[in-house]
Amino acid sequence: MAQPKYLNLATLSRIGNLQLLAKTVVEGFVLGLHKSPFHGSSVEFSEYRPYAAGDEIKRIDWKLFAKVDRYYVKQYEAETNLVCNILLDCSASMSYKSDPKGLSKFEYGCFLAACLAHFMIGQRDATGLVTFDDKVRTVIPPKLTPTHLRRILTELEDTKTGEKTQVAGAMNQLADGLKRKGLVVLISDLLDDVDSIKAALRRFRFQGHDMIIFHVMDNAELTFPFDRMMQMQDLESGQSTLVAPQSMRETYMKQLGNFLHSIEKAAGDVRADYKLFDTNTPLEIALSEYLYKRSQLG
Amino acid sequence: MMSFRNPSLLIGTAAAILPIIIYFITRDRISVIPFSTLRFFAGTSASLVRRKKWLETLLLALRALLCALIAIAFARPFLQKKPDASGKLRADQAVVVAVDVSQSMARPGAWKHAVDKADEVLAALPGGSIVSLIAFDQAARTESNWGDASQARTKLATLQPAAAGTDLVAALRKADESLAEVAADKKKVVLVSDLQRVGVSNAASGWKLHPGVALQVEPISPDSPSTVGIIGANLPQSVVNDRLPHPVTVRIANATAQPIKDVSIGLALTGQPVQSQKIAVPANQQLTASFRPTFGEVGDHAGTITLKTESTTETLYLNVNVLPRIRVAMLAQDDEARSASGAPFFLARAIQPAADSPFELKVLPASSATAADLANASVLIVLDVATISPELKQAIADFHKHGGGILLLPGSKTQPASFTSSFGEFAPCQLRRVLLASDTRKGGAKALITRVDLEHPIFEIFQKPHSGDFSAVGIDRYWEVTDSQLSRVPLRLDDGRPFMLEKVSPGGGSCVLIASPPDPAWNNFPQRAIYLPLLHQTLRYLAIRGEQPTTYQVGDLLPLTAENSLKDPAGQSHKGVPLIAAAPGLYTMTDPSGKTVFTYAVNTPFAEADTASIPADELRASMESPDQDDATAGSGLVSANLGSREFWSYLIGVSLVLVLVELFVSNKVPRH
Repeated sequence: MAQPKYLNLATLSRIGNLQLLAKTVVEGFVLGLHKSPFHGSSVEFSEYRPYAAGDEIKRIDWKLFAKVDRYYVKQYEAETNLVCNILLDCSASMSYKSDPKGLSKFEYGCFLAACLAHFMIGQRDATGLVTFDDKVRTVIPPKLTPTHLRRILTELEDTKTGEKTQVAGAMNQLADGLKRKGLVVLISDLLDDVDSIKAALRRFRFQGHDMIIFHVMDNAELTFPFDRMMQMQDLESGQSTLVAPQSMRETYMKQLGNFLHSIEKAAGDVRADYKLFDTNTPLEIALSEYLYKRSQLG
Repeated sequence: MMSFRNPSLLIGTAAAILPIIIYFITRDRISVIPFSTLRFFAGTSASLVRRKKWLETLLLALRALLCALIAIAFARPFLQKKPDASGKLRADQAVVVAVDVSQSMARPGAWKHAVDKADEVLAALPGGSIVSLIAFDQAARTESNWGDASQARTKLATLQPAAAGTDLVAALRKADESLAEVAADKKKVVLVSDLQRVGVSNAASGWKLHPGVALQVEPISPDSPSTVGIIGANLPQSVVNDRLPHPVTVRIANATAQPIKDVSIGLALTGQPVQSQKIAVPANQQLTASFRPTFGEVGDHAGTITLKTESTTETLYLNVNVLPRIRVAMLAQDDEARSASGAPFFLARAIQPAADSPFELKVLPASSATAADLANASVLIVLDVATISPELKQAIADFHKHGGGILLLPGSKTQPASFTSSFGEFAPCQLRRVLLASDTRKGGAKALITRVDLEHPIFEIFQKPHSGDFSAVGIDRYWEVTDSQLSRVPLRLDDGRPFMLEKVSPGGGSCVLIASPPDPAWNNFPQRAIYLPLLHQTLRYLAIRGEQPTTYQVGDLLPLTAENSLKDPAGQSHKGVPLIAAAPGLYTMTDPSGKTVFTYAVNTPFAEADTASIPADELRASMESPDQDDATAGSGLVSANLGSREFWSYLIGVSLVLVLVELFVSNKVPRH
């Protein structure tokens, strides 16, 4: 029986432990790659870590093996050669999910952030997490320790969606705090003013950051599959309006297309990688996107 | 006012709320769905919602109206005319009481009986009935329109019999029309009358009351039966001043079973008794009394004929207008105008044989005659004229248009085409060709006059036996005529062809054509004894026919010129407009200087004196529809249906239109 290419998201969502979920995704992804993680060549010992397939055998600490009968390799600080910040939008609009049994955009974003963090730290890249809505809510600075990953995952589990989205404001606020150049991964539905977003991205770019934008949208937002009249309530403003889907679909799709096109164009203008995900997109796709970007950065 | 045949079904209009209820039950449940953003609906949702709400409201209104209309249509609405003061146009029973107010009802006791009977009928009407009171003589009038019985009884007390005749059919027609205006379960006509048979003599064949209308007849009899009365008269109205006696005849009837003796009847002219006689009238028989007065001077000779018995006196009014000599103009070809032989000679000798002849003849050559020559003539004879000038043709036409009488005598010079061109406008026929009697008859026999219309006024004097031998006239040549369908033919030949024809133009004079002129070359007519009286009668008829009638009946319109005034028998003066004669008597017309210029004699219709009555059952059988019994129960339904069918069909039509509009609007409503 052929192995499925990607892990089923519905199955993953039933995994209550975010760490286990991230590990499952990442390890599965790495096995698929048949490639060792990146590593540095610093002399300053950082920590031991379990041997992982792909590690060079010469890096195994045989003395420690003699003591504990397990394979460990030494880690050095210099091996963290990339600083990566994951910016997760936790605004109210991210809580939307069209399928009650499916994932909300925020849950999907959390999964995505967890996998990325797990994978990045596994790749010896210092990883931080920033959550924001209309302002920055939580900042976990990038680090490479195993306990740091746990901290990130714990934060993701504890974070709830909150207020309005103001991507641009939060990003401007962050741009001042991210001193060290690195990779910025933005996970958001970007429901904000496009020009403001573009200005914020330009600011990150000006400070030398490379950017990956994971634009997360619910499948219903992209296809507008509704067929009955309904009262739609804005998750952020609380305002509601009567919507006749059959009569308004054309207008909606047209305006949505304009919005997505504007976002993609803004990302292109600042040379940020832009990837539109719906909440059904396999998480491995995001990891591939990261690897691609990582390979470009060397 | 709108009423409903099935008003209980109006409860169905409550179904108008059904669409509203159904709407609220089945309308889309608008679930509140959280959504990430509304930014992509900007500007469209509000207008859409407004449009949807407006259209849904319109749809609800349409559907509610549709339900209400259908319910109203099933209630079968119909329009009633504007109600009277009592507002009762719909009732269980509608009754028309028709009371006879003709002259015959003035007989002793008759009117009191009639009023009592009508009042009794009105008082006995059950509650919920509506009544209309009609008074009729020779015409019917609504005295009290639909209302309650008390209103009709009040009006009944004010009625009085008039001097007019009786027309029962007119009364029944009027009653039937009144009943058609109301909706009632029972409809009835109560006829209170002495039921004179003459009152139904002019009934239109086959006319009957509408199905469902019952006829109740209440015969009225006077305290004492009629004895004798004048039931007809032959009264001269215009005569020529010929100083000859003229017959005046009256027909007297005895309606009782006993002979009546010592009936005195007398003629008086200008207030002076002229002749009188006593007669005895056998039981149930009629006889004629005659007078032969001589009317001396030119002008009006008003008078009376008075019938007296022991119990009654009846007066008949007459006025004889004595005319001066009849001026006759004879138009002839120039060469024959002064001929001493032939038709001109025989005509001239017959018309003016002596100086005291009632006729005055003027011969006009066709080439030189003018309109002025015709101005003073009463009669124009056109004798065998080939052609006439257009001016003369127009003058003759105008002469005829103003009432002048024309006698056409085509002869050998007459050309059919020219004849038609000159006289076709008023001539009673066209000419085709001259026929020789010998060509069509065995042994060269002459054509004979074999059919005489003795009813024609010209031939009144020949009505008595042995008073005119038309068969003595032998005709050798005569014109064959065509296109005579609209003309009266008083004389016909033995081959059926017309010999004398007459055509009367509406508003104009009369034109008589004789197909063979009085010429020995054509016939032996001038040599026969019948010639002179026939010619004179024809000329008199043509001359007098254009004169103003002098005798009228009650109810007739008496002509009155604007500048003159008319004094009625009661002494009241009327001016300016023609007057309807309301009572018998002499009406004198005077000019502005007060000089009497004309007198009208007005009488009660003679037939009114004929009191022979028609049995009530016979009248009821002849006037009620055969399906009376079956239709009575549903008469109101029939009436209501007739009124309502059209109306509720309109409602159904409107409903169908609403359905189409509803379909259109519902397709425009944004559903989802």
